[in-house]
Parts: sequence; structure tokens; C-alpha cells
Amino acid sequence: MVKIIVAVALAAGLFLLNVVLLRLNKKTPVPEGCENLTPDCNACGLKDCPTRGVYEKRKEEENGNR
Amino acid sequence: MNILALFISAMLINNIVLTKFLGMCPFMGVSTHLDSAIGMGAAVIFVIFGASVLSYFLYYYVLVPLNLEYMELITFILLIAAFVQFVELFVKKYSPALYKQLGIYLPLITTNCTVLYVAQDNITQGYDLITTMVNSIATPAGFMLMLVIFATIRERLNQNKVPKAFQGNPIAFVVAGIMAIAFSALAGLV
Repeated sequence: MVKIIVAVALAAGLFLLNVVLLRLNKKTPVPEGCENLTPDCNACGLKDCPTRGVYEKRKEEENGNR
Repeated sequence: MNILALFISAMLINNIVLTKFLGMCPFMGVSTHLDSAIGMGAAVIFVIFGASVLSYFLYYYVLVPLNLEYMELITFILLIAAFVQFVELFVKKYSPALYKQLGIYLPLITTNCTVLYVAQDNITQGYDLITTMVNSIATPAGFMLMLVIFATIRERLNQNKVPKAFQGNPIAFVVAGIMAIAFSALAGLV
């Protein structure tokens, strides 16, 4: 029983660490000059990747400007 | 195993992209330009090295003493995700120049299966800390090497006429296949 509790506590601790770091990361301002960094990953098929979202947004803007 | 032999083997002979088909997403996705390939490769080396060393300590100093070895997969995944978040936060705050070069690729690495593979492989093979560190540099270095070679080939391909049916990913896969055959010839090296 203790072993299971330790296992759950370990997983929960790491999960909590992830949440805290994610929140801190979101709060940290992006350095000057890095606001509009754009990836170059047109051949990747990973649709739920956050980088992919930035790439597609840039493509849409480029298409809109044409 | 001799450290140098391990380094050469992990980097060239058992190259993670060409022999295990891991990390194919960034290999195909971020290899269209040389600059992107170098940035991605550098970020992968940094993250794999850090994540593997941390995983080593987590496994041998936390999971093994507590008899929780079966938690290896879940804890490594969470540790890698946390490490990538931390690195992004740190680089964002203290090194804008580095962030400009690597920042965009850091979130992408969380989903790169190569990171988890190397961390688990070090444990499965029973490597000590030094061997873990060597393997954790050599494997992503091999990844970066392939990425850079592939990017230069693709840049040249863009300047040539490719039959319509082969344009884009199909010709890239053909090139990757030829590269795999070429590098398999190095098998007798070590």
C-alpha cells in the first residue's frame, strides 16, 4: 500500500513540477527581438504541435498579403 | 564497451534516424533549410544530454531504491517535459541570443521520441554515468549530422527539376533511404 502511495506521489510531484514550470514559462516575457520568431517546419505532420500553430499563422498572413 | 567505439557506433553506425527511424518528424520537417537544421540539431543535443543525465539520476537514486522501476516510462516523460520547460524558461530569461536561435524549436523537442529513447536506452543497456553522458552526446550528434547533411541535399534538390510525383516529401524519403544504405556501409568500422 505504501509503495503505491509513493508511486502516485512521485508521479503527482513530477506533474505538479510540469504545471509550475509551464506557468512560470508563460509568465516570463519573450526577449526583445524574439517576438516574431517563425519556425520552418512545413513538412512535419504533427498537427497539435504549438510550433506548427505559429508556422500556419505565418503562412496565412503571407497568403493574405499576396 | 570502449568509449570511442560507443561514440562512433551511436553517431554513425547505429544512427538513430537511419537505423531506428526515430525523430523522423523534425528530420523531415526542419530539414528544408540548413540554418533551421543546425538550430534544431543543437537544441536536440542540449536537451537529450540534459534529460538523459537527469533520467539517470532519477532512475538510480529514486526509482531503484524505492523499487519503483516500473514507473520508468511515466517519470521519464514527465521529467523530459519539465526539463524542456525549464530550459526554455532559463534561456528566455538569461540568454536572448540563444533563445533567438533555439527558442522556436524547444517546444518541438518535447514531442521528439528520440529524447525518451536515449534516456531509456541508457538504462536498458546498463550504462554507468560516463557512458550515459557519451551516448547522450553521440546519439543526438548523429541526429544533427544527418539533419545537416539532409538539409544540404534538400537545398540542392530545390534548385533542380524533380518530377511532379516526387516533389516534396517523396523525394526526401528516397534521399533518406539512399543515405541509410550509404551509412550502413560503415557497419564494419567498429
